[in-house]
Formats: sequence, structure tokens, C-alpha cells
Amino acid sequence: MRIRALNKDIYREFTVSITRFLSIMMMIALGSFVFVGLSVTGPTMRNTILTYTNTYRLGDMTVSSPFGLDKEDQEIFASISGVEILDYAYRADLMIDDSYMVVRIESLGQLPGYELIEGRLPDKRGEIVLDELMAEEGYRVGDQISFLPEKDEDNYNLKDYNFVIVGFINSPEYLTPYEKGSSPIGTGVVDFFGVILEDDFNMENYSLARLTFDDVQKESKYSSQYRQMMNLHVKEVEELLASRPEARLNKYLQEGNRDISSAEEEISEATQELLNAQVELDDARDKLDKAWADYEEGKATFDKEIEDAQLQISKAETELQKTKDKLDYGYTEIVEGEQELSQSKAELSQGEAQLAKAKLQLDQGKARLESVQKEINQARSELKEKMDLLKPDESLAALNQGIKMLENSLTDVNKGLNSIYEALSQLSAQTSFLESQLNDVDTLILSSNEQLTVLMDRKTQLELKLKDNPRPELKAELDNIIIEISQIEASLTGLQLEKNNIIGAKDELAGEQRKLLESKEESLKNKAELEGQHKDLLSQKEKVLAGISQLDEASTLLDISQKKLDQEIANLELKKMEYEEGLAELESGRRQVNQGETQLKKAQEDLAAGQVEYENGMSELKKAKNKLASERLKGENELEDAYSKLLEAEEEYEKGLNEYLEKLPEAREDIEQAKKDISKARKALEGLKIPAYSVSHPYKDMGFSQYIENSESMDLLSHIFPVFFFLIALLVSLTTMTRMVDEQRLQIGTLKALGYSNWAVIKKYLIYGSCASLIGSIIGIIGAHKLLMPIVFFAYSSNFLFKEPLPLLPPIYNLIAVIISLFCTGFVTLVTTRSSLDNNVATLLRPKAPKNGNRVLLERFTLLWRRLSFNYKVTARNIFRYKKRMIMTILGVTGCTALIFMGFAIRDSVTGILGKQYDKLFKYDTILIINDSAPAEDLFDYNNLLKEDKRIASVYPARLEQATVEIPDKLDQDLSIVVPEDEKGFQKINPLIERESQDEIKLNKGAVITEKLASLLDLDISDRLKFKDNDGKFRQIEISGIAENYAGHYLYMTKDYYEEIFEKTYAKNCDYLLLNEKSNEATTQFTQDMLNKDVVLSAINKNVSSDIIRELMKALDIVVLVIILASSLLAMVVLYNLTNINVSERVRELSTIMVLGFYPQEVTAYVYRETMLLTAIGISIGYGFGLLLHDFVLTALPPANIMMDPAVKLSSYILSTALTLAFSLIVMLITHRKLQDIDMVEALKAVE
Amino acid sequence: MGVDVNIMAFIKVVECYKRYRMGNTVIVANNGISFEIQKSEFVVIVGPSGAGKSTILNILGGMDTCDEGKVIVDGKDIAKLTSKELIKYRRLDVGFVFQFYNLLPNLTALENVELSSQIVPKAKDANEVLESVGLGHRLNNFPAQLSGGEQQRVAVARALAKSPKILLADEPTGALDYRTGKAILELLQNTCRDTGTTVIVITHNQAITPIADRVIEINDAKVRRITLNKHPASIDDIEW
Repeated sequence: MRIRALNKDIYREFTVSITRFLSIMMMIALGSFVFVGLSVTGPTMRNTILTYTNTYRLGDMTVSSPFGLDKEDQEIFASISGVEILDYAYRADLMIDDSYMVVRIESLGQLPGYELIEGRLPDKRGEIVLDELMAEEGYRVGDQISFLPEKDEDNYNLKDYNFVIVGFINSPEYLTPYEKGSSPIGTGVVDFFGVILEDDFNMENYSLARLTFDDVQKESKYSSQYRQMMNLHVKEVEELLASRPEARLNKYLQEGNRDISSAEEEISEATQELLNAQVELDDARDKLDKAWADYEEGKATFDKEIEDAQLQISKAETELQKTKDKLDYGYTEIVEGEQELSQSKAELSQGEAQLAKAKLQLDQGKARLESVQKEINQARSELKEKMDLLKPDESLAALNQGIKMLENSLTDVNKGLNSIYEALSQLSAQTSFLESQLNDVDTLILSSNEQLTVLMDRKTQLELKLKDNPRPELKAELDNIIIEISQIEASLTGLQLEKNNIIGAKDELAGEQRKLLESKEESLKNKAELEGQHKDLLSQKEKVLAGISQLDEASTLLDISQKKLDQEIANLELKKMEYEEGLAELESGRRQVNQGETQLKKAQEDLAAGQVEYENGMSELKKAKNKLASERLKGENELEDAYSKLLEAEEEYEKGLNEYLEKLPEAREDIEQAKKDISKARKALEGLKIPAYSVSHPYKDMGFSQYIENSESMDLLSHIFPVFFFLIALLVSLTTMTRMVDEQRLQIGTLKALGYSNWAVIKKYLIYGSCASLIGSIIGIIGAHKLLMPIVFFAYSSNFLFKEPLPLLPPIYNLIAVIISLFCTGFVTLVTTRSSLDNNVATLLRPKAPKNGNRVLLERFTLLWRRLSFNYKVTARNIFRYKKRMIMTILGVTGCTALIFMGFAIRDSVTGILGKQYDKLFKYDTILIINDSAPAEDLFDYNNLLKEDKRIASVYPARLEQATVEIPDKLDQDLSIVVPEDEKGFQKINPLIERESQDEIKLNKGAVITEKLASLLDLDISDRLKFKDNDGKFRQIEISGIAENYAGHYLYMTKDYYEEIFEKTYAKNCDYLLLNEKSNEATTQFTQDMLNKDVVLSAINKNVSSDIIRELMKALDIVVLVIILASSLLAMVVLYNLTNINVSERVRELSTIMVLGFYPQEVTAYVYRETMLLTAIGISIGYGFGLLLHDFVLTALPPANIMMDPAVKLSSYILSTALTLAFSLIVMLITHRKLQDIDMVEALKAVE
Repeated sequence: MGVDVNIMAFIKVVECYKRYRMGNTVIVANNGISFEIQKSEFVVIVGPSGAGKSTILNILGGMDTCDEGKVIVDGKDIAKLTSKELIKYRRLDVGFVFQFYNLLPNLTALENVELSSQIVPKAKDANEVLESVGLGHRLNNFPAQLSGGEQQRVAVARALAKSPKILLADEPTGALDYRTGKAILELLQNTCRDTGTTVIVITHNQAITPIADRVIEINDAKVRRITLNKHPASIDDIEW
């Protein structure tokens, strides 16, 4: 009752200082949220996977061998101690008929138990349950599904390849539905799995055995006991099976060899049988051929006999016929002879008449011819007369002579004319010469006259001058001129004379010319006359010639008539001879007719004798013919019988032959095939490797161990972050509560003075703080379970089967969170309040002396101090005045920056893996793993194919071997040993680089290993690495370099070193390829094509490997985002809270400067400048812590086969700073607002 | 400065009302207060606790506004100023001296004076002002190292460094012993005399009134009496 007022006070306190309450609550909530969220995720993940694997009975151990498990193996398994369940199963990888997806089919057994999603498990043959993924692909219960039967084997793995789908399941053995492991068929990846009854299998040996053990049933699969026990079991099984591989191999070799030899025997038997059949057939043929020959012979003799008989008959017949013909001919001849005789007689009488007529005609012709002769002779005498009269030869000669004379005189006349013309031309030439001379003389005369006139003029002038002035020189000149004139006059007279002479000569010439012209005229007249005479003579001559030709013509006509006449006389003579001949013929005809008549008579007598002979022959012939016909019928029947028998035999033979021929190619093919099979089998046997027995347990399973590892990395995160969060929350709530108690010091004093107990006083603060903590932690815990844990869980489970988290109860972490939260506030309150309460009441009632100002260290550097503006001096002093708050602020900001920074840095590191691993280091597109013990010709073909395929840009052959390395306290790690054929080329597609210096590493003696492996084993250059090779042999190798690499472990070495270390000769077994088309589809298509080749065992696509990392990145991205968000929120709350305390502690100071007239900005700056400074300091320290955290996470977070990129991008530094500064600014704005609301008057009035 | 004091008062408060709402009740702090103050006067506003004298001081100092009425300072009605203009008014025209000095504890005496001198353009040199209040030898001491009187001297120096138009002192002697109080009053009086600054001292102590040029008595939120002393007494002559 008494403390009701106090309770009211407590209650009011919540409402009064609600922001303080909320900020404490918020910090605690955040702390619990992150702590519980992260702590619970790991165990939840483990609980989920363990529950799942227990529920669906994941076996403790799986043993398999590529040859399957035979009777001996089964005996060994039966002898293993402590086995609870031993379950055998068949397994076969098959391709779906139409999609080429690879489905791993297993037989249904006791292990594992499948999670049934839909339908039921198969209970009769031909039924199948499929992977749940296939339901997503569109398969439905009740659908049919068929698989492609194995192409090469003669013994099929299944009895039937068509199934009815009866259900969909998930298996604890395939925890990662999208990564089911590798397969030797299809794209090299198992896409789905399915389960059928054992009866559907047709395999000789079981493929694998699954075991569970009694002793581990009590243990959780996560416990170390389980792992230890399993290690023992594995060791035991491995030891039991140690001798098996070799034994199996030998057995296989023996069996194989036996099979081969028995097959060879079979072949030789078959060949022999074939040969026998051939021989039998040949014999039969021979016999048949002989029979045919006999038959033909018999038939031939028969035919010959018949023919002979017929020949004789026909001979007789022809002879008879001949006789008959002769007879017939005789008759006709006789008739003809009679006719001829009578005709000849008639002809004879006709000839006599004709001859008489001809005689008359001949006489008439002779008389006419004689008269014509007479006429011709008369005409001839007339012509002769005329000829004599004409005398043509004489007159012609006279005419010719006259003509000749005339032509001669004409030539003479022409000659005369020519000389005249010559003379005339000479004359005219002379005349023209004379005229030119005359001209010259005239010109001379003319010029002399001109000179004379000039001289005369001068003379007159001189005379005139002399008259006026008689000078001697003038006189002399005049005299000279006079002399000159006289000279000229003299020459003029000469010239005139000459001229006259010339004119005379000219006239003479003209006379001569005239005479010549006259004689020319005369000659021309003469000539015309002569020509007229010549013409007359010529015409006369022509006339004479015409007369002669007329006479010649008449003579020729006469000659022709004479010739005709002579011919007619000859004709007449010829006819006369004919007539005489006709007369002789007639006489001989008469003789012949008489002779014919006697011959005819004799012939008629001969004919009658022949007729009798002929008739005798005919009757004989008929007899012979009858005999032949009967004989022939008999023979023919006999032949027919023989023939039909032969045909039958032939048919039989044909049948046998056909049968043989029909079966021959098949048999040959069979033999060929068998031979091929044998050589293949032999090669396979030669290439047979020691069969590795793989003994697997959950921790060797990728999915299981990866998930467990993920959960462990979550545990790790849950150890770092919440510590930070809680530390900061603790510190800040400590400050806040201390401040609260300080603020209420007076009240505490009053209460104590009033007589309240210490407990009553403390109760208020305890309740206040605890409430904030409780509510905060509950909110945080709920958020953690409902929000953070599922987010992280699903991020990590996105690749897995798990559809919902199975949280682990009881919630120990919740309890821890609440306890820590209560400790943060309650305990702190208790301590701070207690220290106040220890003071006596009087002290409490007095205001606590304000913190005094002090010189700061900085002031000792007077030079620097003086340079600082007043405001900064104040800030500097304030910072050091409230040291606790300074440390709080720095710590808070440091923590937040560190967390945010680390968040970004982890992101960089994870992204770096992808970029650097798959762009910078692995530049190839795909690796084709080939069977190096395949037949040489296949390898040759394959290499050619690589050269020809246009999709390939370049090829880098290498040898790739798998090995394992034991890592203390961790799973064994797979190690890929890469031995490039051409190191230089190989470095182009897989460069080996030292990470820090970025120097290229050259391969030489020794091996280059990748960085993560080196760090896992703490190895350095020139240390030795121990590993277990493919054949299970341990080998040691010296390390010559450590290369940058982020995913997986690799070991690179030269060919020579490989041969030295492995003691075998190098041969390539894979090809690193660069493709022209790098898209996912193109690469997949390419590898699918390549996997169809027998030589290609598998393909490693870079895309696929990078996808796995991408998944991990996605999961981590979410975790990082959560960290960044939570850290950001924490940064805000911390800054706000601390600033709040700052303001409330210094409200009086602030009021004072407000009263002094500081502008609002100045007031805010006055308080906040120090916060900003501290924030800056916090950020820079935060980087340091962030880098430390990042470093720690880098080594602890990633799985053992992945190295995170330690490089942090500049953007992460900038972003984390920017974020922290942004929160600081937001808080500053809030503070600014708050400062406006300070009531300065009240603040100043209050007594401290 | 040749201002005609008779024509226009330097400070003129006309019918000033101020009411506070406290839950359901309304407290009237100033109920129609009016008075005038001439330039360079030494004024004492006196009255018992709760009479409303602090309200008057707050309003005159630009820390508070009145609900009704005019407050004219040097021709400017500060009752109508915006809060920003009020800050400027406080910054440039008013100097405060508080009962509890309100020195910033982590600043030295000199720095406390600089705190106000550095925000005013026409400010006096901080050193000189401290010298003038007799603290030339304690420039670099922190408030905690100074006695109450010395602290109050620093406070006066801080107010004077701005060369304010008005110097307002709220119970300046309230936290001081008798002798020191007197010394501070003397300092204020001398300041008024020597620099011509209008000084308004608010106190509940009637004993101080004789030294003022003008005494304004306030009681029950109203001005009861205004007395003008033609010859104010010397500080040495008064006692309390």
C-alpha cells in the first residue's frame, strides 16, 4: 500500500522517457535477433538434415565397384561385424527415350527409405517411381516412360525398358536435386533418378551395397562418436576389400580370356560347319552335273538314230521324188517338143515370104542413088568455072603493095612536119632571147637618160651658182659633171646602135619563121591527100576478100552432099548381105525340124519304163516309215522319264544351295561380329584397370557434407556477429542507464531521505531496464525465428530438398539471449544505482558537481592549438571531458562500420571467386576427358575430329588425374593433377600466377599447387606434399610454386617430372578446349555431341562449375545483406542514443549558448561536431576491425575446397563509410530537431 | 550619444500580458505591465518570488514573447519578432548575467568570454573586457578554478564583450556572499556609468533599490510602483 506511489512513479517513468526505453529495447532486440537468428540457423540446418536422413533411413555406408559386387564380395559383406542392415541394389544409368535426359535407375530395397511425394512405390514389374524433379518436368502418375536400351551390350541391364509411373519420391541420397553426380552417358550428368523392382533388372552382379551398423544407431550422425565409429567401420571394410580389386581384376581377366577362347572355338566350329556344307553342296552339284551329262548323251544318241533313220527315209523319198520329177519332166518335154516343132515349121514359111519382099526393095534403092550422083557431078564442074574467072591471089598482092607504098610516103610526110616544128621552136627561142637583150638595152638606155637628167640638173644648178659665186671647187665639179655627161651620152649612142642591131636580127628571124609556117601548111595538105588514098585501097581489099569466101562456101556444100550419097550406097550394100544370110538360115531350120521329130519318138518310149520303176520304190518307202514311227515313240518315253527324275534332283539341290546362300552372309557376319567382339573384348581386357571399390559414408557424400559444412559456417558467423552486437548493446545500455540514474540523483536522494529502502529505489531502475531488455529480447527472438533463421536457412537450402526448417528444441539460445539481455540492462543498472546509493543522502541531495573542464593534451602543442578555431577547441575539450561517452561512440561506430565493411568485403570475396576463377584463371570452355587406353585408331579418329570440328577454336592436350590429400581434422580433399603437354600454350588458357605479385609461375622440376591447399596444409615452396594417387599409392612431391586459385585444388607439373614421379610414360587423357561459341546452349550441345563418341568419357563444362559457385554466392549474399541491415540499424540506434545522452547531459550548456544568441545550426554543430569527429575516428578503426573479421571469415567460412578472394574492392570501403556517415547525418537531423525544442529558460532556471 | 531622452524612451513596455497554461489552470505571469526605461539608466526591477519579474526579463531578453502588448526596444517592437529575429536580437543587442553564472565548465575564463564575442561583429576584445572586470590575471582558469564572484565577473565580462544595448542581470548576487555581491553590483553600476549601457537588474532584494536610477516594483503580475532616484546611493552605503 505504501509503495503504491512509488509504483506509479515507476509506471510514469516509462511514459516520460519513452524514447530512452525504446532505444534500449531496440538495441537488445537487435542483439537478440542477430544472436538467436544466427545461432539457431546452424543447429536447425543440422537438425533438418539429420531428421530427414534418419526418417528416410540414409545408410551409414555405401560400397560400390565398377564391376559390381560378386559372390565373394557378398560373402565378405556378410562377414562384417556389427552390421544391422545389409542391402544390395542394382543400378543403371539410362537415357529417356525422347529427351536424352539421364536417369539413374536403382532397385528398390530396404535402404534408403524414400520420401513419397505422390502415388506409391512400385509393387510389380514394369512400375517405376521417379524423382520429384520429374513431376516438375511434367511427368504424371499413370504416364508411360521408356528408356533407350544400352546400345553396345548384348546383355541388357533391364528386362524391359518401358515403365508405368506410379509415384514420385525424394531420396536422402540425393539431397541436392540439381547435382546428382556424374554419369558416363548423355551430357555426363545424372539428371534424375528412379526406382524399380529388383525383378526388372537383368544384371549379373549387384551394383552396390548399403549398410547400417548397430553401434552407430544410438549416435547422432553429426556427433564425433559417429564419425569416429564410421571411420573405424570404413577402415575395416576397406581392409576386408583390400585384396578384392586385384582378385576381381584377375578373375575378370581369366574369365575374359576364357570367354574369348571359347568364343574363338565357337567361331572355328562355325567356320568348319560352313565349310562342310559348302563341300556337300559341291558334291551334290557334281553328281547332278554328271546325271545331266548322261541324260544329254542318251538323248543325243536317240536323236541321232532317229535322225539317221529319217535321213534314210527322206533320202529314199527324195530319190523317188527325183524319179517322179524326171518322169514328169519327160512328159512335159515331149509335149513341149511337139509344140516347138510345129512352131518352127510355121516360122520357116513366114521367113520365105519376107525374103522375097526384101529383094524388091533393094533393087529400087540402087536406081535412085545412081541419079543423085549424076546431079552432084554437074554442080562441081560449074563451080570450077567460076573460080578460074576470079583469080583472087593476083589482085590481092597488087592491093597490098599499093597500101605499103602509101604508108611509106605518109611516114616521110610526118618526118618533114616534125623537123618543121623543131625549127619553129628554135626560132621562137631565139626571138625571145633577142627580146630580152632588147629589154636590157632599153633599161640601160633609160637609166642612162635618168642619170643624164640628174647630171644636167646639177649642171644647171652649178652654172647658176657659178654665175653668182665662181668658186674653183664648184668649177671643178662642174667640169667633172660635164665630163660625166659626155661619157654617158657616148654610151647612150653605143647603146642605141646595139639596139638597132638587135631589132634587125629580130626581123630576120621573123622572116625565117614565116617561110617555115608556109612549108608546114603544104606538108599538112600532102598528108591529108595520102591518107584519103590509103583508105580507098583498104576498102578495095576488103571487097576482094569477101568474094573469095563466097566461092569457098559453095564448094563445101557440094562436098557434104557427096558424103551423104556415099553413106546411102553403103547402107544398101549392108541390107543386101542380110538378105543373103536370111536365105541360109531358112535352109538350116528346115534340117533341124526333121531331126527333132525323130528324137521325140525315142523319149516317149523311155518314159514308160521309168514309171514302172518309180511305183516299186514308193511301196518300199511306206514300209520303212511305219517302222521308224514305232521305234521313236518308245525312245521318247524313256527319255522323258529320265528328265523328270533329273529335274527333281536339281530342285533339291537348288533348295540346298539357297538355304546355304541365305544363311551364308548371316553366318559370315556373325563370325565377323564375333571376331570383332573378341578383339574388342581383348582390348577391353587389356585396358582393364584395377576396379576401385569405393566405400562411402554420409560425410563423403557431396550434398550431406556440404550442408553440414554450411551449417558449421553459420555457427561460425553466429559466434562473431552476436558478440559484437551484444557488446555494443551492452555498452550503450550501460551508458544510458548510468545517465538515467545520474539524472535522477536528486530523486534518489529524496526517496532515501523519505526513508525508502535501497531496494525500493533500485527496483524502479531494475524494472525499467529489465522490461526494456525482456521486451526487446522477446521481439528479437521472435524475429530471429520467424525472419532471420528462415531467410538464412532457405538461402543455404536453395539447392537442397528441404522445404521447411525443423528448429531444434529446446531453445537454449533464446534463454541465453534473454539472460545476456537482462545482464546488459538489469545488472548494469544494479551496479550503477548501487554506486549512487552508497553515497549518503546529503550528498545525493546536492547536485553532482559538474565535470570540470580540463586542459587537453592537444593544448600542449600551442602552435597547433592556436590555429584551431574556437569551435574546434571547444569540441576537443568536450571530447576529452566525457571520455566514457567518447569511447562508447567510437566503439559503437567502429563495430558498426566493421560489420558493414565486413559484409561488403565478404561479398567482394565471394564475387571475386567467380570473376577471377572463371575469367582470369580458367579461360578454357570445356575439358573432354578421354579414354587413353581406347584402341589407337579410335584415338586417332578422335584427334582428327578435334581438328575438323569447326566449333573448336583451339585444343590444349593434357593429362588429368585425380588424387586425394588427407587434411588433418577435415575431410579428405580431392586433388586434380594436371600435366599439360605444351606448357606455353596451356598457360594461355589456365595461367599459373602468384597471387600477391601477379608474377607468372613457370613449371620446372617440382609441382605447382594451388593456394588453398597450401594454406590448408600450411605448406610453402620446397616443402613436400603427400598425396594418394588414383591407384591408391601414396606419393610425395616437392612444391616449386603456389598458384592463385579459388575453387578446387590443383597440382600442375611438367611431363618429365610426371614420368619421374609416377614412374610411367606420359599420355594425354584430356583436351582443354576453347570454343568459338561460348554460350551455355552451344557448349552443352557440343559436349553432348562429343560424349556420343566412345573415346570421350566425360566433359567438364566451365559453365556448370561456375553455376555451383554462383549458388553459394546467392546464399552468402542474403546472409551478408542481413548483416549489413542489422549493422546499419544498430549504428543508427547507437548514434542516436549516445547523442541523446550527450544532449541531455549538456542541456544547460546548450541553453546558455542559445541564450547567448547562437543560431540553431551553430547549436547543433556545437554538440554534433564531436560526434562527427568520433564517427570519423570510429570508421577508420572500423576498417581495421573489419579487415580482421574479414580475414577470419575468409579462412573459416568457405568450404575446404574453396578459397575466397582476399582482395577488397575500393567500393566496399566507400560504401561502408558512406552508410555509416549517412546514419550519422540522419541522427544529426533528428538531434537538430530535438535541440529546437529545448526550453532554455527552464533549463537555465534549474539548479544542477 | 546625444539621444533626447525626454522625447522617446529607450525601452517601452506597453500593456504586456503573459499567460502560462499549466494543465487546466492558466497562470497569468504578466497582467498588463507597462513601463519605460531611458537609455543608459541603471534599472532595478524588484518584487517577490513569482511576481512575474523573471517573465519580464525573459521577454525583454528575447527568450520569451508576450501574448499581448508591445515591447519596444530602441524603436523596435520585439514582441512582433519571429523566433529567428529574436535569436539575432539576443545575439547582437542583449547581454545576460545569470544567477548561477552559467559559464561553460570546460572553457577557460577567456574562452567563455570569447564564446560570446566571437558571434558579434562589433564585439570588444575578450582580454580587455576581462581586464576591465579585474580578472586579467585569471584568463586561462577554468570556471571550477574560480570563486563564485570571479565566475560572476566572467559572466559579466561575457555579457559586456558583445557591447550590448541592454545588459540584463537576473539575481546576479543571489548565489554570492554579501561582499562579493556588492562587488558585482558595483561592477554593474560602473559599467552603466562608464559605458552608457542600459543595465537592468532583477532581484527580490529591496535593499538594492537605492543604487538604481529607476526602480520598478512588480507584484502579483503588475507594476505597482516606479521610482526615479535623482541621486542614487553609492553601493558602499547600502546594506542587507
